Amino acid sequence: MDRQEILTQITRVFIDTLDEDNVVLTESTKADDVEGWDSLTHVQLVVAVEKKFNIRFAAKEIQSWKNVGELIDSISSKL
Amino acid sequence: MIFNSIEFILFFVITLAVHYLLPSRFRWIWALAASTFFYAYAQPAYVPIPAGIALIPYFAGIQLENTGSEKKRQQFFIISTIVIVGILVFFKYSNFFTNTITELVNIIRQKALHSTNTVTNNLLINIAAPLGISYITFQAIGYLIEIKRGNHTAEKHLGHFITYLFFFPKIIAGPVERAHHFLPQLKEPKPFNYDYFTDGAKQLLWGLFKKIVIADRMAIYVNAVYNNYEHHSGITLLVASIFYVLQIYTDFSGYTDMALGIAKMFGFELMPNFNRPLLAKSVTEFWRRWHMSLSTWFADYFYNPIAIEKRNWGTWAVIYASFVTFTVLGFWHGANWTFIVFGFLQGLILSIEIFTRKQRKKLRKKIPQWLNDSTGILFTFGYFGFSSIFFRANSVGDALNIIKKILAFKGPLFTDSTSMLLFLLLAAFYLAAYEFKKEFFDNRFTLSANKYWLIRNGYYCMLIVIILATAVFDGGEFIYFQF
Repeated sequence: MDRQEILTQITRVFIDTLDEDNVVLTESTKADDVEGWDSLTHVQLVVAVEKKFNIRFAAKEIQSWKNVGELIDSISSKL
Repeated sequence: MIFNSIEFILFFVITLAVHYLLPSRFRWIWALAASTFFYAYAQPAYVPIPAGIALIPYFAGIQLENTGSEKKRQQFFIISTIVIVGILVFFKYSNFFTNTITELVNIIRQKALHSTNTVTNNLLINIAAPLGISYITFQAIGYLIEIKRGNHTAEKHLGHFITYLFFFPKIIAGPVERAHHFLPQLKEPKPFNYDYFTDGAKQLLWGLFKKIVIADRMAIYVNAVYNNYEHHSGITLLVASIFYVLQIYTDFSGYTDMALGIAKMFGFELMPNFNRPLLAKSVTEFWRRWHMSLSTWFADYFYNPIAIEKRNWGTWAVIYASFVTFTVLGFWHGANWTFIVFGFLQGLILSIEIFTRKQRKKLRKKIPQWLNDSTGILFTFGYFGFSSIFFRANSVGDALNIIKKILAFKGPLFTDSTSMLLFLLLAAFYLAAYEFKKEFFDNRFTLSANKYWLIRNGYYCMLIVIILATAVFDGGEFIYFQF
C-alpha cells in the first residue's frame, strides 16, 4: 500500500470517528488543524486506525507523532 | 512579593533596567540572581528546596540520555520521578494522609473495639509548603518525560536549566512552561524590541486591572458571604457563587497576564494559559481554554499515557483516563476533599459529554447556531460555577449546605452598600463586554489596537485612571499562589 492510499484510508477513518464530513488530511496536518481532534478523541482515532489496518502501535510511537506524515510512517512500517 | 505591590514595582524597574544594560550573554545570570532574590524575599530559608529539586532533573536528564539500556533508563526515570514527587507530597500532603489515617484508626477503635480512647496524630508537620513547589515539580517531571521519550535532548548548562525553573514571573504560579520552549529563548536572547516591550507593558496593565479592579473587588463580596454562609440567603449565595467564578477567572488570568507581560518586557515569551474559557460551549472545550499550560501538561504526560495503555477498552478507556486525571488534578489543588469532589465532577461531566457527543452533534444540526452556542455557554458556565462551590467552600459539608440553600432560592440579597453592588455589576459587565468583543468581533471596534493614536493611548490612560480611582489596593494574594 503506498502512502497516498494510506492517507486516503485514514482520512476515511477520521471522518467516521470524528463524525466530521469535511476532514482533509495531508502529510503535514497536525492535530490542531483538524476540528474535533483533541486529546480525548486522539485515543479513539488511534484505536480506529489500528483496527482498520489490523496493526498495533507501541505507546511510545503514539506519543511521538507530530503530524499525519509520521503516523503514516508508523503504519507503513507495519504493513 | 506579589506583582501588585510597591516592593515589586521597585524590584521590577531595577531588574529590567540592569537586564537591558548587560551584554546579552550575561543576561541569564542576572535573571537567575533576580529570580533567586524574588523567591528569597518571601521565603529566605526555603531557597535550597527548589534549588535542590532543580538539580534532580538536571543530572537525571543527562544520565537518561547517556544510558543505553532501556531497562536501566526506565529504572532511572522512575527513581528520579519518585524522589521529585516525594518532595512535593511530603510538603503538600503528609498532614492530609496522616490525619486521614488517624481518623480511620479512631473510627475503627470506636466501632470495632468500643474504645473511647482516641489516638492523636503525632506526625503533623508544622511548616508551610515552599512557594511554587508544584509548578517546579510539574516542569521538572515534564522535562524528564520528554527526554525519556527521546523528543528532546538534555540541557547541559546547569545555570540555564535552573534559570528555566526559577524565572521569577512564573516561579510561583506558572504557566507550566515547557523546557524546549523556554531554553532556546535563554540561549539566544532577543534584542530590545519596542513593539514587543510595549505589548508586554499593555498585557501587564490589563492583568493588573483584572486583578485589582475586578478580582479583588469580587473577593470582598465573595469572602463576606462564603465565610458566613449560614447567615446568608440562597439568592445571596447564588450571586456570590457567580461572582466567585468571575473572581477566580480574573484573579488567575490576571496573574497570568501580568506574568506573561513582565516576561515579554524582558524579551521572553511564556505559554498562554487562558483563552476566554468562560465562553466555552462545552466543559470539554472549557478545559482546553482554562489553565492551558497545566491541562496540556496533564493531557500529554498523564491522561494520554493512561488512555493509550487501556485503549482496548474503547470509550471506557477515555472515561477512565478522564476520571483519574481530573481527580488527581483536583487533589493537586490541595489536600482537601472539596478539591477531590471538584475534580471528580469535571471527570463526570467530561464522560457524559464523550458519551453524548454524536447525539449532541445531531441535535446541533437541527437548531439555530446562536441558540446552540448560547445554551452551550450558559450550561458550561453554570456547571463550572456549580463545581466551583466545592472549590471555594471550606468543606464538602459546607458546599452541600450552600447548594441546598441555593436550590431553595429564597431570601433577600445581601448588599453591604449600594455602591459596592454597583461596582461589582459594572466590573462584571465590563469583563463580559471585553470577552464577548474579543471572542466574536476580534478585529472590529478595537480600542486597544485602534488605528488612531489618541484612541489607543486614551484607552490605556482610561484603564490607569480606573485602576487609580477604583482598585482594591489592599487585596490579598493571588488565589493560585497557594497551589
